Amino acid sequence: MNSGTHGIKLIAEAKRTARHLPAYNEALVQHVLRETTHQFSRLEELLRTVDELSGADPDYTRRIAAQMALLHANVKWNKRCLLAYHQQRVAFLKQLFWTLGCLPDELREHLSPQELDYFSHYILLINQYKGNYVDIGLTASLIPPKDLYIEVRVVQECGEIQVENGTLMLAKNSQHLVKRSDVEHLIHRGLLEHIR
Amino acid sequence: MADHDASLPSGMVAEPDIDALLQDAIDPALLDHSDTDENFSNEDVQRLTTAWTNEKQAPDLLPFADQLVGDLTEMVQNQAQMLDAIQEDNTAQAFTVMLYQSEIERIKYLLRSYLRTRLLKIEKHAMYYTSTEDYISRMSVNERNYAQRYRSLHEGHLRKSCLNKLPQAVQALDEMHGDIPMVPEPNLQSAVICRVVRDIGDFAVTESETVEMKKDNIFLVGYQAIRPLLAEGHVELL
Repeated sequence: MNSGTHGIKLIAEAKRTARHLPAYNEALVQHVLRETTHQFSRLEELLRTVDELSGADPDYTRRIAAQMALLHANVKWNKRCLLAYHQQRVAFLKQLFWTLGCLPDELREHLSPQELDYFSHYILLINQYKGNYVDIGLTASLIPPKDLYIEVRVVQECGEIQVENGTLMLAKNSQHLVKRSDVEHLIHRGLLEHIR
Repeated sequence: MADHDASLPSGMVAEPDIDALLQDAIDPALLDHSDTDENFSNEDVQRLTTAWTNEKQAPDLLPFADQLVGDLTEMVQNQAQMLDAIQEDNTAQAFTVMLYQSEIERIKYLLRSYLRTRLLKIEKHAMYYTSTEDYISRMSVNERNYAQRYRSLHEGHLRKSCLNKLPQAVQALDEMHGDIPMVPEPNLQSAVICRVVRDIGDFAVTESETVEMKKDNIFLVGYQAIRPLLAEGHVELL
């Protein structure tokens, strides 16, 4: 059996995740999990054999010991591959949260149920922390503010929004000079375009 | 045409007017009101800026600037309230309000970026920081809560996704690989660029190397070596 090769596939997928999020590879994950479990039980089996044979034939024991070392390394290797794969994916999800603030619908189906769960819990966690600093707007843009007012063009119909002193009608293709902090979240989501 | 109309008056009228507006804007009542406040806050802003750049450049988590963040958040609140109270009767006042608002936005940005830089660092080494006494004491109460919750969320996810389906004996998240721990630690050996704030004299950068550190000198050194200097505020990171 060519063990370890599936683990490396996981790593390759994880590496690709740096740029975009491929669909959760349930089949591959399950395969590596099965392989690892299998190797581990084989390891235990060998351990029992060694115990029974203790001291019988040093040469034979040494051969088994070599097998065991290999299996052990494989089990650990697979485990780390699995962890790296899942870790890399949630890192991507977190980045998504900080740049977009939400989960795009087309990505939703790429996630495992656990990852969906993770994402919603992460949002809760951030909101909890954010609640301690209401005035700062923790999740607002990290671009240093140059101007208080900016000119924006409406890319997608937004309807009426609340601004600091009243409401503002954002019809598609209209242009407005508005307070940056009022519309930042809309720019973030791509509904508005910052012109200057 | 519309474009032309819009840019022309603002380009022509606004420029020469700014000085006049500023003159008008320095309304004695307003100035009195904010003078002491401003001197005090400017220093705080400067200190937060230093704390923020230090935090951005240091490989590990620095002590939380508790007092500073508290003071400045309070100030942002007060300023915002003060501005709400000011009537924008004329251009000059509107202009003053705008200046204040820009300033507030900038301070808010600084605070936001500072807190987020820290959150990011905490997430990266959540396991290590939450189990090391020194680092626990460097976090604010809120950050401590956050770190704990984040850690359990993260570990829970890894367990549910894969570890639970592995044999019991290989489920641990904190074992050793040879002599390399599985819990990642911040790399204190990494190089940082620092500026010397006040004369220090000879300082041992490594066991065999000593340099003379004068005010305003800039060094590229191992972080570990200058850690005590940074804690004392003798150097700042760039």
